[in-house]
Amino acid sequence: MHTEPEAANLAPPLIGGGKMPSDVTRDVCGPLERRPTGMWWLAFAGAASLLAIGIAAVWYQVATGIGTWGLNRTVGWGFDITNFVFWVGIGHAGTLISAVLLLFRQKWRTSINRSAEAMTIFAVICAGLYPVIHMGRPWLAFWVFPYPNFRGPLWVNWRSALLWDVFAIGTYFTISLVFWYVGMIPDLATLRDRSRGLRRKITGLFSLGWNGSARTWSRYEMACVLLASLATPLVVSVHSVVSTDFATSVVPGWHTTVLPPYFVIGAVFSGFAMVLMLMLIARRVMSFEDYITSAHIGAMCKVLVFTGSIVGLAYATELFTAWYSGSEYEMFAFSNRLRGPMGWAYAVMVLCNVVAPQLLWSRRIRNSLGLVFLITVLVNIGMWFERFVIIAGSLQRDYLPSAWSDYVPTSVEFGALIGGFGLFFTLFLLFCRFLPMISMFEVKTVLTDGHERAASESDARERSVA
Amino acid sequence: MNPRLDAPPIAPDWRTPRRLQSALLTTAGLGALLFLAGIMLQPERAWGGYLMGFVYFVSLALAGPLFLSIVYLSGATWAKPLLRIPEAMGAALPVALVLGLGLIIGTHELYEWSHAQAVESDALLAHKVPYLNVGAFSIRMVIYFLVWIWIGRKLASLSRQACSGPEGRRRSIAVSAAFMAALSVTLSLASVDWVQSLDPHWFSTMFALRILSGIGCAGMALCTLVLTTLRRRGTMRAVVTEDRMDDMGKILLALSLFWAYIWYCEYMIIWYTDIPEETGYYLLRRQGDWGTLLPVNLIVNFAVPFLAMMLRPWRRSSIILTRVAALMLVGRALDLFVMIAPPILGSEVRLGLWELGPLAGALALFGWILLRALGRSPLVGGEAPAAS
Repeated sequence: MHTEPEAANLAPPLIGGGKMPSDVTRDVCGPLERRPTGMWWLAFAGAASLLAIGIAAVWYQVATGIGTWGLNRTVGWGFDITNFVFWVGIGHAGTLISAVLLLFRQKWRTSINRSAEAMTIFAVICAGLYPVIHMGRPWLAFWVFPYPNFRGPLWVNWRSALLWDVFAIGTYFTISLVFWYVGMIPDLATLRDRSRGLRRKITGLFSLGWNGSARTWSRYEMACVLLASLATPLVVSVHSVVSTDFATSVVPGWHTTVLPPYFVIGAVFSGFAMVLMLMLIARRVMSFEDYITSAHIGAMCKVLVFTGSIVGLAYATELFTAWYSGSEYEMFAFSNRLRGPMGWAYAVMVLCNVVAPQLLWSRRIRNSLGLVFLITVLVNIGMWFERFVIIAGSLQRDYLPSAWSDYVPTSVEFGALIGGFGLFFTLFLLFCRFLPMISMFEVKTVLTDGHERAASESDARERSVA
Repeated sequence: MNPRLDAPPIAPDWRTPRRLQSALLTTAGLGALLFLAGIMLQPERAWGGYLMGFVYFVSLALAGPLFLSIVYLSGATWAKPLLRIPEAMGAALPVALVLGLGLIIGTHELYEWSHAQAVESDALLAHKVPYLNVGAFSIRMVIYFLVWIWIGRKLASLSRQACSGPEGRRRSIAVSAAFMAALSVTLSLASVDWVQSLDPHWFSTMFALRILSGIGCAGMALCTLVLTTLRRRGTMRAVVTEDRMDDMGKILLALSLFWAYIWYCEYMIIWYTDIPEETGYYLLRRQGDWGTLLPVNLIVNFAVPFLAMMLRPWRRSSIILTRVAALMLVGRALDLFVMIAPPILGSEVRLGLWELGPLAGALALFGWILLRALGRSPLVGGEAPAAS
């Protein structure tokens, strides 16, 4: 018999612990049906406090005016747009994992896609707030939409990348939300069937009368494939459009042709780092060690080292081309980036984004959860700094030396930055409490049907018979 | 037993078609003769054709190991029975080195930066001398090829030995990662050296990605063409199922979309910003007849393959898939022509024997090498597709 070498060829199971389908339901629904743990309350209190700081800061800024920020006539974009681009980037991994990895048939995505999608939505919410705050008069934010109005010639500028940004982010948010919700319907029905009272009514409403019949499944799968096909181009388009906010300008350091794919790959990089960071926490807090295994973590580490290397290559390409161009402005923009007043920020960015993920080439480091966690935190810091270096760093030194100016963020801006993280984590913790964090019905398709446990049970039975 | 684990029958009826091989060799020889005549009569145009042929040849040869490394890194099991084709494509890399050494002779005809006089009177060119000089150009060329040949060979031999099991898989993944890392740096520089520096004042950080997307399109189109041809001849029918053709069709769709994305981003940003450092590149390429070729390029390389490969029945039709793949190969030549020829020919489009001769010769030579390499070992075999 040559079954053994074939068995060696088989991929190892994705889910540990010899789970049966009913175990999955119990493990995922269980935490939602119990009272929240002390750990959860502690985390929630922390996140909510950060959010409160943010609300206070933004309240003060809106009431007083944009002058409470450190922006000036030279540096018109600072923390606000940095935060915006950072959060849009974080929002990339969700759709990538759900739609692109679905099309590539990467089955390891099933354990993490639900929370990654949730993260996408929360990140896009965070992102969308910053430009609105930046307007100074957020109650007029609806002016960004082109609709018939009585403002005479005051009409959106179709030639501006910023308007297309509104559409890109709006489309992305809508599709991500629909995709996330539709992907959750079978699991909501499971929750409905397990609950009583008000919870049953609410989950019943949102599971749209799911009955699990073959016809329902068949329509459902068709809908998912269609949504995945719609969502896939969005993964690339959103950050490409965001990049044109900068690339279509004539600001050296902003204007470079590679910026769209450069932003997309950076977004995937930072998004994956954030997903991995949250998963490392969640598997510990929610005891999902059997669902998010070292194989999942290893796969995500490999994505990180791959995307991190591309980011490094992009940095090198920029530097080389700045020199190769022979253009005085390009060369100055990059020598200023390296050695100017924000040189330290460039160093942080390179250390965190290029050097740190290279450690993940080593299997030993990929297996050390503490180190992986540290690297994901570093990458998140580094990717925030990348946007800061590009945005504020390039503006500081423009064509007119007489207009040069430094940018010193104020405590109000730090408050808004902190508030973004507060909002993100508050929403994420609420999600962990009320919705199934792991896609139960999809994980059930990658189970090895409890082969090992069934085998050991039958062994035990045989032994007891003997 | 799982039917997917059954070894597919090794096709016994495959023989390298001698007549095709001699036809290819004759074309290659004619191309070489035309090129030699061209050097005497129209040196600039002949060398332009040679550069197009060279870049096309290298693109196809690099696509082999690139495809292999993507398959191994992503753990794609579906492509395992088809890997003889990319392995054979990579076998052309040493010949590409020889063609590249030939290119060094033509630097003076092709590249403005190789003229001492031009450099003296041009501050920008003088600034670039540390990078753009014939010595450094040649040394870099040799380094690129040595790296590609060395890692590409290793990858192909691992792939041919069909290393299965965890240890073999780990080695193939390590070599694939090494190839990717090496290719990213070398190709970035090579694309500047060979093509971008034809317009020596112009620069674009996107440029290497344009070359890379072209490598992807041409390489996969050629793989598809070989597969559908073999299928029509009755060979590999067990492996090249309708599902495989469907997969190849989807890849062609994705690659044409990627090519268009890269092309559009670069063009749009340069058009929108309209700064003199960059805009001259497209100014030249939008003048006169070049301006007609610009949309034709987009239709051939993007619109037609993208729309055709959207339809499932068309992806599954051997005839349509073959035609789309062939069109993408023609599109590659057109794209290279629009990239390479304008700085050589100036504002007038001229496409004649001096361009087509060397190009056709190089492609025929590649086809000959590919067929020879394919004939050396059974077309199907090696690692059984692992069930996932």
